[in-house]
Amino acid sequence: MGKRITVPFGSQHVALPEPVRFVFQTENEKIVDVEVDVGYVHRGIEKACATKFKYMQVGYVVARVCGLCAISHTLGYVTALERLMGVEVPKRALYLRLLVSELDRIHSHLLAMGHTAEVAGYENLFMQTFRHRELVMEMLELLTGNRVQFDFACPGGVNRDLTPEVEKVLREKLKVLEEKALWLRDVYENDFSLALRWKGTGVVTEEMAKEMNVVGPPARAAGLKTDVRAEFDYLPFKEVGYRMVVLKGGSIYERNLVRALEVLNSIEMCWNILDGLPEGDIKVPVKGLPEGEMFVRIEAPRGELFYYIRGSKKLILDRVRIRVPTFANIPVMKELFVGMDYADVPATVISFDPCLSCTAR
Amino acid sequence: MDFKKFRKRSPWILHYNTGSCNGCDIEILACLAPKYDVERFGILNRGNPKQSDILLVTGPVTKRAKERLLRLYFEMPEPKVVVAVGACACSGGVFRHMYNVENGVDKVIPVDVYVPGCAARPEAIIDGIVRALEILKEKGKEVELPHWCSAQVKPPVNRVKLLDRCLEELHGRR
Amino acid sequence: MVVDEIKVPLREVRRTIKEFYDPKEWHFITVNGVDLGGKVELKWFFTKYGEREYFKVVTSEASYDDEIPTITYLIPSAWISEWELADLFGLNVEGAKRGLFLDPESPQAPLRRG
Repeated sequence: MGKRITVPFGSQHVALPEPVRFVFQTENEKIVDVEVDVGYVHRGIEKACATKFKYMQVGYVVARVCGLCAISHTLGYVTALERLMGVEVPKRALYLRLLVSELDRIHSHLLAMGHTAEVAGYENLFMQTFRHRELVMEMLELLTGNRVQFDFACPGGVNRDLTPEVEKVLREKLKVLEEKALWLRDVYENDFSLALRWKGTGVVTEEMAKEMNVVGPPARAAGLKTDVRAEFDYLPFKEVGYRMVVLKGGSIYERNLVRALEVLNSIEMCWNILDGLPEGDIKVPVKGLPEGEMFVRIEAPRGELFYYIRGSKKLILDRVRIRVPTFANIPVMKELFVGMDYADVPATVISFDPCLSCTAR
Repeated sequence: MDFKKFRKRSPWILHYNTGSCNGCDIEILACLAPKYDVERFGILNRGNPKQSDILLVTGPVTKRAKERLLRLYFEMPEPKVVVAVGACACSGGVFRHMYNVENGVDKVIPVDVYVPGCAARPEAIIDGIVRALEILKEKGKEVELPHWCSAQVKPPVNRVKLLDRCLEELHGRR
Repeated sequence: MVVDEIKVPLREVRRTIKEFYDPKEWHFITVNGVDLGGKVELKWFFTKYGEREYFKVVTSEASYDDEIPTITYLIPSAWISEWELADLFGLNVEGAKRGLFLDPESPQAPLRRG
């Protein structure tokens, strides 16, 4: 039995794009204890939403909780507000929101997949994945006007319409993207060395997923049938051909495969949206003041996002509560590390696709 | 050997997120990836402060990240350039005056280049890095201190003592 | 949206949750606090796997000094929500450590009103 050695991982680390800190106690190569510190990026957005900003502005503030799933945060807040105030959103606006949210999911999943490949030491695949991700970024820029922080959805509808010229370009790019996504799926599924590295590493079993309330792709990779898109009607997912992707196994390999398959499903949904986009208004005015409480669940790229808002007939809301997917996945990560080899840690952390600026807010 | 001539050819960057929304961070990642590709300037992303020349900081500097940012800054050898990427790194942006933020990177460490935008576009980031390279060429070996620090720098510099002194002042400033 | 709300006094929260909670069926979302001035309204949110728009909410009220019972015996992953509650509201939650998000120099209990 070796002596215990403390190994810090983060807050600044080459494998991490964002600051999270794990302190591992290791005996030889095995981890025996772990501490986690997620508070490096705590800014106090919940407080500011309930004191500084008016209810029409909060949607743009919560988008800055996270740049990767900006549309999900706005959607969560906006859906809660619309349900609270009884606003009927036009059909076209709902479909446009759905389109952006799926494109956002594609770019986020591709980022996560590429990053896992980089951490596994496969820089070539990382570069390839990011190259194809640029296609999605170009599409998002055409559609919304910005690459990352779109501010696309607003209370009552969306801020920008889809013009026929843009639609034509979108179709061209989507066709290329579909080809590339199929190729990527093939690589992530069948590459020999990647499978050797990832299969059976960092396994979350179905029981564990249920007990620890895991959400998002890690849960679906473990065989737990949970997807908010199927459990909560915030957008018309059923009409555009949504399928739940569930795999058995729960290791890093399955997590990435779930992401790859969801990218394909999202592309299919995008085709269906572009084909059957209804005509009409994109925005209705929102009048009055919010009163009462409302909570919604949204499927962000990383999993279930929960919004709780409460107002009392004032311009400024009383409480905005954001429960983000990574926040729900931190406990299972902590559980998972005990008994694992230290060498597997970076790949496992990244395969959960942690978003710390979401977690700390 | 005259290293000054070659320094500009292969600057390594260090990236630290001090509370941004990840928007700028993924744009920095996009810069390193094929389409924008800053590697053509000889730039590599290495997570080691002791080998880096350019520090890219995103985010409005939260209270907990403040000390880490200062430590990273002091661990980097001179000459070094600091680039503040994004609106919140420049001034605090939408997070200005929230209870846990410091309103911008220049409140903690000296900043040489400001890159605006929410999120900063890759083109703007590349522009900022190229500007930083010009500044890097001009800079000498002198140690730069944050504006709020009153310590005197006399060669030979003891970095550990200097860092302790700065941290003391940082926490005394509350 | 179906919301099944149960109002209970604080000391009965754990028993109420224990009665229905089964990890195979129920998904614990989070515990949320709302400051009502002098006291905090607490809500434990649950949902069922595979059902559409169904929520179960356990509601309770606590004053600033009350000890909030922990449910980590039943739901191991609840610790992070409870620590957050202890941190941001300055509440006394059983077994929670301070300092998940806040530093000594940040304002304490920022989500309390007034």
